[in-house]
Amino acid sequence: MTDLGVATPTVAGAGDKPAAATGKSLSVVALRKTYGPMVAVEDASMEIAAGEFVTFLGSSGSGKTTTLMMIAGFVEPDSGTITVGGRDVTRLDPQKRNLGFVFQQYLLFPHMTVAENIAFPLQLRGVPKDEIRRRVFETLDLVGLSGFGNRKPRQLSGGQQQRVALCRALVYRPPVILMDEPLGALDKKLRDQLQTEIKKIQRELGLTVIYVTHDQEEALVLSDRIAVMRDGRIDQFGTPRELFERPRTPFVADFLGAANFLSGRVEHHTDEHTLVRLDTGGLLRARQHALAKGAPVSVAVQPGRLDVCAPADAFCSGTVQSVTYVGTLVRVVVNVGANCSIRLEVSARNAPQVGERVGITADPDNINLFAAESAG
Amino acid sequence: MSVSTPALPAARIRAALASRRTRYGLLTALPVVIYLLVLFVYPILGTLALSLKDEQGGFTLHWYADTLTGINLSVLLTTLRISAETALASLVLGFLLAYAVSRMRPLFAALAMVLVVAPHFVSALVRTYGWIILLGDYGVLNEAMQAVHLPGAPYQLLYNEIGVVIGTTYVMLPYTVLLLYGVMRGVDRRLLAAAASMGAGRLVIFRRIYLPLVAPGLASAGLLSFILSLGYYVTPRLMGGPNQTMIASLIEQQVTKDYRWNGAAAQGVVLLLITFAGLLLLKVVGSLGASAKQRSNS
Amino acid sequence: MEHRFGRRALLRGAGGLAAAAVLPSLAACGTGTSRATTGGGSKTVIVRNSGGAYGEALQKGIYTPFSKETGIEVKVVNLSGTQMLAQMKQGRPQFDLIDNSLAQFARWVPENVLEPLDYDRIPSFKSAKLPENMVEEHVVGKSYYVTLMAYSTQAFGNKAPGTWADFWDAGAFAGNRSMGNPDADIPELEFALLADGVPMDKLYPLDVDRAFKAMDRIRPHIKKYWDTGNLPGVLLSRREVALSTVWHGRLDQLIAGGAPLAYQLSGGRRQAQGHAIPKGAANVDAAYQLIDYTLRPEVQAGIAKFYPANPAVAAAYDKLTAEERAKLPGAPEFFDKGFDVDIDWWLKNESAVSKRWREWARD
Repeated sequence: MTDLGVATPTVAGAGDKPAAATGKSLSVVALRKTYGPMVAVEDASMEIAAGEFVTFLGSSGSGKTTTLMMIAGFVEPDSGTITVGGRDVTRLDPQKRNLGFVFQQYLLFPHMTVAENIAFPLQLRGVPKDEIRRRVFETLDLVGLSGFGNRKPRQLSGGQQQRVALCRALVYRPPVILMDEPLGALDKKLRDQLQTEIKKIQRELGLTVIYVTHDQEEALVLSDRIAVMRDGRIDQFGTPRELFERPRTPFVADFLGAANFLSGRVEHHTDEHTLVRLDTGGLLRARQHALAKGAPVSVAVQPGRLDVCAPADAFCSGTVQSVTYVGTLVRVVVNVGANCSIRLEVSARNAPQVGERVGITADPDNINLFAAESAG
Repeated sequence: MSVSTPALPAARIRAALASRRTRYGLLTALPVVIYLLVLFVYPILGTLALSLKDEQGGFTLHWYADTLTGINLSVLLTTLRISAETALASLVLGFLLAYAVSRMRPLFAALAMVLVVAPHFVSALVRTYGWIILLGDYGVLNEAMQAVHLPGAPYQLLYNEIGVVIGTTYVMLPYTVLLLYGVMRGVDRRLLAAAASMGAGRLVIFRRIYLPLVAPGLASAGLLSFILSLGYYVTPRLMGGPNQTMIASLIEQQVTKDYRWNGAAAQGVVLLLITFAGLLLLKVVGSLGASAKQRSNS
Repeated sequence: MEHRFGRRALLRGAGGLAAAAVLPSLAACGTGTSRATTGGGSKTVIVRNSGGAYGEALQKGIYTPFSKETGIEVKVVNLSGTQMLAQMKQGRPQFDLIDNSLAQFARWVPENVLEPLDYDRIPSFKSAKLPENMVEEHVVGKSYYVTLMAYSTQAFGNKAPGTWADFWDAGAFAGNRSMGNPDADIPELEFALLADGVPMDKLYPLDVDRAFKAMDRIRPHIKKYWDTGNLPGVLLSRREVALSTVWHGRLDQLIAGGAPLAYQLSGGRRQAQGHAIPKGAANVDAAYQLIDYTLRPEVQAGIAKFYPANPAVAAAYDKLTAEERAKLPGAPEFFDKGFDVDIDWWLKNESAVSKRWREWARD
């Protein structure tokens, strides 16, 4: 184990590569868990590198928490293997895995002070008293809570409690820290603040973190890579950019970017693009796709990748239904047909008027095509 | 639960709130207060007066001297000893039982509780017989122990202090089990998982997390058993010998046989004082422990 | 016991709190509603007895036929001595006739709560020819209860313990013993003295020192001092003890049920049971009628058939079969082998002896 004290203040802002990575790699192979006839997790596999921040993203029931619990050891998988830093831990009790865990409900020990809470895992590991004291102090300092050591958890706010819980999970430098919606119980402002802190600490200490959330924004802010989970399966595992720009399924496209979906048929292929005849009548130029001519397709495009233009240059046009200002951006909803509207996010300078007739355009590279039958 | 940090304005506001709450509380508590005054305080004062009167109605401490000397004193000490033993035994047993019940599904838990409480509705005669069948020289337990050639069997489990403690513990068990069950149900089991996640084994989790969390319940259950046992006399009489005579037995005897109300009253007052002392002790030990902890942390 | 919300439950209940709090409220037990005092031709009489099997026997043997004959309704209450005394001291007893031991009555005489009896209002008294010690100014006897020796018939082979010396002889009659606790009855010093060789007619005044010395010898063999009447039977039938003192009659049901137990009808201590009328009783006439009815030989014999209460009226035994008489230690066959308790001696000494007994019994 590397020394936390040395690693702390020096590396702030040192870039993507941490000076001293405390985290280890983790690999999950073909994990499966069923509850009776219900399949909770199916064929979950991934390799996570040391010092990587990975998020399991999905709605409730997607299997993200079950997967996390299997890694932690609280849930026993039916099959598959979990390896931490090369050590197979699949059948070990949670207390023998030496992982860190941060719970949504903080779960600080109410009968212990903050310092005692953080010291607890160190005491378990037989760390000498003086060093415990030093490391508890350093860790509290890291989250800006020095001086709170003698308080009882109930005397702290939710955000402070979660910071302490974080301290408690990382003070013994576990190879991997698992976090189960740790900010789920906090309000938006505090959440943003803590996201930044968590990310900063993770970078500085080179922690390997697996983070579970249902909040896409949080996942995008924090993660090196995101595993989007649905119905017990990993739909796609990649960097935020990959997921955003090259979603492998319509679900991913929708979940991350709240994509607009349009349907149509492949009209023909050019050297660079695939042309799609939309059901609304317009012709759409999209990224090249190996779909047969005439095949029904589903078109996904993020609101932020669309722009307004003259109706003549557009792949589709309609009447502006609403315009909402959100800072420098405006959210525009355009009615393009019966019961069919498209959402856009455009620069406030280009904002159209409500009732105005506008066209919609997009860079073909930002348009994703999916075979229609898979568009569930 | 006062906060020791110097958050002065907040503390003042809180104090003001507390006092208003106190006043309102007193008002709503009035019926109870009157009830207690009439049915509790008045009789106790009456008892106190009775205990300080001699046969001619003058003032005397004779009854107290009598209570605290000779055989009466030894009965009093026996009472304390047996109550302490009972408290301990019913705590240990109650803890195990409550723990088991708290881990059961609600339906089974309810059934188990019924099983714990039900035998208490059996008549004394039947229960006397039941204990002999179970614990006697030719009882189930001794026969079983002899069958496996346990050295020293048969053991005398009745008509001595072991018998009394078995009996009183049994009577106390529903109280301790119910009390501890409630406390245990209140323990957030995810805290135990949290401890496991950071590497704590079962024993450590039990000692460092679970036990401290149920400790307040253990203390009150222990004290409750102790205090209730102080007033027992039927079970000690049933299952003990002359050496296990308890003070309540002495009180009863003085009232029903000797018609000596003054002496009985003095013994009652002493018993009451011991009860209060027990409550006070618990409070003192609790706050001492808390302040010791405070010191070791700063 | 613990489930019944009575005086005992209260005493035992919430520890010292209840023990302390209940005392004064006990004193208030007597404040019952006072009953309208009706004149001579009253049609009801309320009798207090100790209930249980004894109470049932009285109901069958006396009260029911009495009501049938006289038309007077008999109501029964089971009050404790303390409760009765409290009510009588307030002058408003809720009962007209008390069935109790003569020893108990003797303690109440100085309290001036009992009506002096007018023996002319008890026609059958003359023919009853009660023993002298059963006729008092306030109390008239009616039966004996007897404390005697009982044993397991399987414990000693063909031998049977015959005397108190046998009871004390743990060599010849090996096994645990049980004797009475002063909570149940007056201490059993007489048996110790008899075992030690004191002739039966020279028992009183009891040589207390000598008695306790004799008690010392048997003490290691005593497993339990019984404090309730049913306990000797339980202890004997469960083989916890081989020998016990017992109130005669308490083993009858067990013996009838096949338990290998027997009484030793010789050497028993007789204590008289009788009737008294409390001062302030509402139905004095009916009470006298019931006393009178009870002293008829055929009625006395009648109870003895239901319950081993030994008739005080000698003529009653003539109305019983030899077989029935053979079960009664008060019958002429056994009468001279037992002895009457000396109430006067115990009245003076019970408190001191009981106290000494308690000290003696503790290690």
